[in-house]
Amino acid sequence: MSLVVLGINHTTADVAVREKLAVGEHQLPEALSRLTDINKVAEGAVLSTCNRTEVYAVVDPGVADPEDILADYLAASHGVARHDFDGHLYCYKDSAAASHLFSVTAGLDSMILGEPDIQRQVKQALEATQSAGAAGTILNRLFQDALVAGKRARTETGISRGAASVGAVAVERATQIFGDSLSGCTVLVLGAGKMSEITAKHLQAKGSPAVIVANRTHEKAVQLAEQFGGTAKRFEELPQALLAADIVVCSTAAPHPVVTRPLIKEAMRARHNRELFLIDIAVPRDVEPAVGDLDNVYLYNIDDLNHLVAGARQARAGEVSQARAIIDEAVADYLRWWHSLEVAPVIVAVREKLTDLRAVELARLRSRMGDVSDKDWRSIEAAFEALTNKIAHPATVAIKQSVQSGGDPGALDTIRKTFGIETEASTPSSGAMPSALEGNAASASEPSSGAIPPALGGHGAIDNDTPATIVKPLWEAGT
Amino acid sequence: MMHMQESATLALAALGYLVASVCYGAFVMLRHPGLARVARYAALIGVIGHTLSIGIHCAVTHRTPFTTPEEALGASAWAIALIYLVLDFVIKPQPTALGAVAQPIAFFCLFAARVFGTSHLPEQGLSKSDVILNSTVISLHVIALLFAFGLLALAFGCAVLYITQHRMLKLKRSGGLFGKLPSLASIDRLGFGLVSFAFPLLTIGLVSGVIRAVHGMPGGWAVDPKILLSMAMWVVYGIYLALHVLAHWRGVRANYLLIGGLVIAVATYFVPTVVHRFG
Repeated sequence: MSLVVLGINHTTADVAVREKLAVGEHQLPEALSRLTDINKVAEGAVLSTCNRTEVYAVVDPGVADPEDILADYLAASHGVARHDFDGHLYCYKDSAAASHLFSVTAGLDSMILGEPDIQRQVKQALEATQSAGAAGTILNRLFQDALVAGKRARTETGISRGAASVGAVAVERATQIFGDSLSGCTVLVLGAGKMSEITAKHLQAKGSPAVIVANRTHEKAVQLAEQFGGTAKRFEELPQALLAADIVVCSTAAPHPVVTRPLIKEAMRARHNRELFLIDIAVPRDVEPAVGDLDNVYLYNIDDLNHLVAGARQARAGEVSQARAIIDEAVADYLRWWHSLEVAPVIVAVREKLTDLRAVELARLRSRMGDVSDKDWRSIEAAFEALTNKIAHPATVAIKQSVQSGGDPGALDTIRKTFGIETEASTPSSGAMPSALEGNAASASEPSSGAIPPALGGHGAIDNDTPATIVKPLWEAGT
Repeated sequence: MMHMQESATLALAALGYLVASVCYGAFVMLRHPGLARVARYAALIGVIGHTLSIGIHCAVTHRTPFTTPEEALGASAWAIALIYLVLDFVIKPQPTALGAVAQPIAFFCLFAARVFGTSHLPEQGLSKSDVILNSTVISLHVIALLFAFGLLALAFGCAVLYITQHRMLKLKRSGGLFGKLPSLASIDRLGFGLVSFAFPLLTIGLVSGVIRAVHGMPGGWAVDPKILLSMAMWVVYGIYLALHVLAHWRGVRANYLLIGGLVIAVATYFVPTVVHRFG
């Protein structure tokens, strides 16, 4: 089988494009169901955050253009045309795909280097995939290993030390508008999601401003409001809530903007033009961009906030190489495990071959020997078994070592030939990772050669009419 | 001897303002507490030196220190520096970003007064106009306007800071000055407070000027460009206060009004006049 990831992120597309492909939490089960309904997809997972939407799929290695299938899936499931996003996609296969998820989980691929939220989001993606029954052995292990590696990278290196988060940046901006303490301010939290909760926590730590929570599900609003000692409002009461608010944190799952220019214009008139700070961390966006043009209204969407802390990436660049080493090591471990799935049938085939040979030779011997006592025959059988085991053992060890680092990758082929089992053993990732296990972990982090020729060749891999539709992998470009 | 003392104290004042300008500016950028302390003491030395200089000047000439346009400019520098120093000691946290605007204004006013000024010491006794300027009404007129101008110059500084901060927030900038300027709310409050103090002084200054004009000036003074511009300035600040208090008008437009007000104030200083004493 072959592992493929097709995605779009903050480096390849701005929020206006990303929001078209965003998958809300409540949409995930249906999205996963549609993904695994595709004939050639054996396992599937979707990771959708503010900064990225990525589709992971385990497909048959015989599938010629898995990226094309996944791009069609994205277009169909979001009701958008391919040309709307084709030029913003990237695609990785096999070892490069695994390495990509590990990097993403560790926050190495985040706009804010080492940011912690992505770890939680990957975990949520795994849970959703498991709940939907879309994950099999390969994706389950991939996501779990990625989570372990991400945690290691954060604890063993300084990539997340002092990392500015969206919440921290939002607080910084709020203090530039309202002063060092937000004690006299009111924060309106629109949408009771995790991100709005985190951002509101950051704001509340800066002088305990009053908190109002408005959500479509009123019970959730009440729960979150209780957490902050605030008040809950029904979503329909938004115009009134805006009159009291100084800071609005928007993170609903609404597919269209819920905070419109006419709404804010009217609110600003009623609030006597008092400054209003809108933090829109939702994808798709909750606030119409034109709202930011209004006087005394300061609108920051997720891209704006992310760009503000991009400088932190430079400051911690030295930690990246250490984190990358951890990721490479984890990727190599994962690939070894995956390859062990490939060699297991070979080991079984070797043992079966020897067992068959033993049975044939024992039968022949029995026919020639005539009367032999049961006790003697058992001794002969035991001797044959010991002999075949002694033959099988070094072969098994050699097969296992062939997928270990420093092992001889050619041993597998030699053994297959020796035992005449070239065509007998099933190969779960046949041809999928020919180079992944060669050399060290660093080589495993490189995109598999030939996996994404369009990126290198400039041809449209997804749509031949669209040149260079798949971007070059980040690490290949030296970024 | 007195002339030398006056020059020495004036040089000390200029040096104090210059050092304060540099240190306040550096503090805003670097946030080193030592720079703010040095800036404050330099500003204090500047004001003390300037006060002594003005005192010596008055003692020698036996006249008010704003008889000529240059003297008025120098006195304005002193008023700006003095008012800022009071704010620096009274307001918490220190309005250091405003200091980075106010101290350079004070320095350049003093520098211009010195460069463009003529002899500070009279060659002969008091002229008729000097006697007029020493009257109580005119003293009130000049002193009120002097401090009003000082306050309005600082309000102008607040408006500049507000608009800079506003633009940085709108353009979503980071680094540079961002994070080093005070919050929009605090600058807006300070600007409004300064105009609230300046406006009554401006009113007193203009009313006392009108009283003096009615009783001692030839007809037609009401259409003198300087007086008309003074009235326009009063109207602009009056509108600012009225809109701020009654219509809760605030934000970038209100601060542009403060900048416009000071532009008119500066124009008032330079505009040709027929009936006014100087300028």
